[in-house]
Amino acid sequence: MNKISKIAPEETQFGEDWFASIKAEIGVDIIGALAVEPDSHPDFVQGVKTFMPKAKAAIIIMNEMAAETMNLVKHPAKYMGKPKTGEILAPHVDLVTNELDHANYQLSKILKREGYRSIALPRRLPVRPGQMRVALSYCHIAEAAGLGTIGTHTLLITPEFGTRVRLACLLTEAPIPTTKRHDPTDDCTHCLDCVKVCPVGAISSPGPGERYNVDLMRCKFYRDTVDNCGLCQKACSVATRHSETVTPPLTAHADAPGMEEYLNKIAGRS
Amino acid sequence: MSASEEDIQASAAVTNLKPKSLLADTSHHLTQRTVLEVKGDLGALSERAFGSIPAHDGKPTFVSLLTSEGHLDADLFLVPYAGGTLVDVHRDLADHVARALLQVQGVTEVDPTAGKRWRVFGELPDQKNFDSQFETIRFADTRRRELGARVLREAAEPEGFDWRHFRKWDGHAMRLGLLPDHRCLLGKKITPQEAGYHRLLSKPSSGEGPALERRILPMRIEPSGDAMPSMAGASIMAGEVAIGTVLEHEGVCSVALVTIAPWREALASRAKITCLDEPALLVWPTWLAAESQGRFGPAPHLI
Repeated sequence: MNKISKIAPEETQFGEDWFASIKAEIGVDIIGALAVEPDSHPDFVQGVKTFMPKAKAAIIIMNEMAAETMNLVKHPAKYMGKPKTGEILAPHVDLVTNELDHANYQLSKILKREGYRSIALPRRLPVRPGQMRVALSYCHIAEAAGLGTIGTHTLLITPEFGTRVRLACLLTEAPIPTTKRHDPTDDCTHCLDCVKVCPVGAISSPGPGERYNVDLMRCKFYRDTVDNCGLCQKACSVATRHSETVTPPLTAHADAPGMEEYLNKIAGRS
Repeated sequence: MSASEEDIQASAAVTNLKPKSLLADTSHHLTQRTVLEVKGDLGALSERAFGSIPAHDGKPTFVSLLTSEGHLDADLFLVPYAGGTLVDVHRDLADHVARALLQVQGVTEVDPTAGKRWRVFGELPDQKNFDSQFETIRFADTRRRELGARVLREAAEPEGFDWRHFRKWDGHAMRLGLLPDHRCLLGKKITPQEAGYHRLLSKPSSGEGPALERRILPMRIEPSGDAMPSMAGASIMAGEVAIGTVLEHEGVCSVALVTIAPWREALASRAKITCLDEPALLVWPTWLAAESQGRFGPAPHLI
C-alpha cells in the first residue's frame, strides 16, 4: 500500500529558490522542468501517461561530462598504431550517468517527503514498438524546458556545456511550472561539422521541412560496434566553443545570467 | 588546426569507404539568381551600399545595396573578374540593380546578358562538387562560414540531374537567421542593423549591440500536423498581440521581422507564440547571441 497517496500535499512554492536549493542539495549542474498541460505536445503527454498517468511535470537534471575526456575521442582512422584513447569515454559516461541516477533518486525522495508521488526514470527507457524512438525523449523535454536546443545531430546542446551533458528525468505529481529561458538563443550553430565528422555518414544535412535527418539504425549499430563513438559530440563541443577546459564559451554575453557562476566554477577548477 | 578539424579530415580521407551523406549533397542550383557584368570602377558604390566593395584583384564580397533613406534594397555578391565585376543578384531585382549601378560614378557599362553565360550555385560548408572541365569561380560567402560557398559556373555545362533545389539552401540560410535574398524586403524599410549586418559585414562591436526595436530573427515552426500553410507575410501572434511578421518561409524554417519589446513581454507572461495557429519558436541565432539578454543559461524562472 502506498502511503504517499494519503499524505495531503502541503503548499509548496516551486519557484526559483526551490530549484536553486534542490540543485545544490542533489548536486547537479543543470535543472529544469516541463509542466504537463492541456496543450502539451501529444508525444510528451502519451509518454508521461505511460509511466505516471497523473504526473503534472517532468523534471530534467543534467551533469557535465569532462571536456578532458571528450577531447580524447578521435576518428578511428587516427588510431592506427596508437592507443584507442576514445575508449575511456564509455566508462566516463557510465560514471556521470550513475551520479545522475543517484541524484534523480534523491530528488524523488525529497518530493515524496513533500507529499508528491514521483518516479525517477532510468537512463534507458523502453522503445516504442516497431520504432527506434523511446517512449519519452529527455532531449525534447529539456528543449521545451528552455535548457538547450536539439542540434543537427539530435543531441541536446546546452548553453553551459554544449553537448557535453548527460540527462536524467523524473516524473512527479507536484505542480511544478515550466521553466523558460529569457531571450532564447539557438544553441546549434548549423555549421554541419557533425555531418562531416560522422564516420558512417549517419547524419545528413536537413532539408527545409526537417529539423534533423539522422539514420538512427546506422548510428546505433556503429556505436554498438566501437563501444561508444562520441565524434559528433566532440565536433559540436569544438564548434560551439565548449571544448575548452579553462575558458568560458566565447559566444557568451559577458553580463548574461549565470556567467558569474560559470566563471567562479572555472576559477575553482584551475 | 583544431582537433575537430583533424577528425573531419580523417573522416574525409576514408569517405570512399563510408556511405555518403553530406557528400551526396551536391550543389544547390540557385535558379532565382542571375549575373550582371559591370565594367568600370565600383568604388563609388560604397556610398550606397553596406559592406566593403572589392578591389579589381580583390576577393568577392557580399554587399547590400541601400535605398536613399539607408534601408536594405538588394543583396549582391561582387566578384572581380577579367578586369570588370560580375554581380550575383536576384533575378527579380536585376533590372533595378542594373539601373542603380549605371548611376554609380565610374561605372561605364552594365551587361545584363552575363546571366546567359553563368549559373549560380550554393554549396554547404566544405563541399566541392565541380570538376575543372568548365570555368568555375568559387568563393566563400562572406556573411557566415556556415553558409558555405557560392559558385559561378559556366552555363555551357549540361544540367546535372543531381543538382539540388535552391529551397534547401534557402532553408539552411533561414536556420541561420539570414535572408536567402532581399526580394521580400521591398517596401519594408529595414536597416542593415535590424538584419544583423553590422555583425556580419563589419568588425564585431564590443559589448551589447544597438538597442533596436525590431530585429530579423529565425523562427522555427512546430507543426501540429503533417502539413502547414505557407506563412510568408503572416503575423506572429503572442496570444492576441502581434509581435512580428514572417518575411520568408520554407518547411519548418523561416525568418521573421520581430518587435523585441512585446516578444520579451510575451515570454515573461508565458503567452503562447503562434503563426497561423501553429506553434512557433523565435530565437536569437548563435552569431547574434551576444546581443540577446539571455545567452548563457536559462534565465531565472518565470513563474
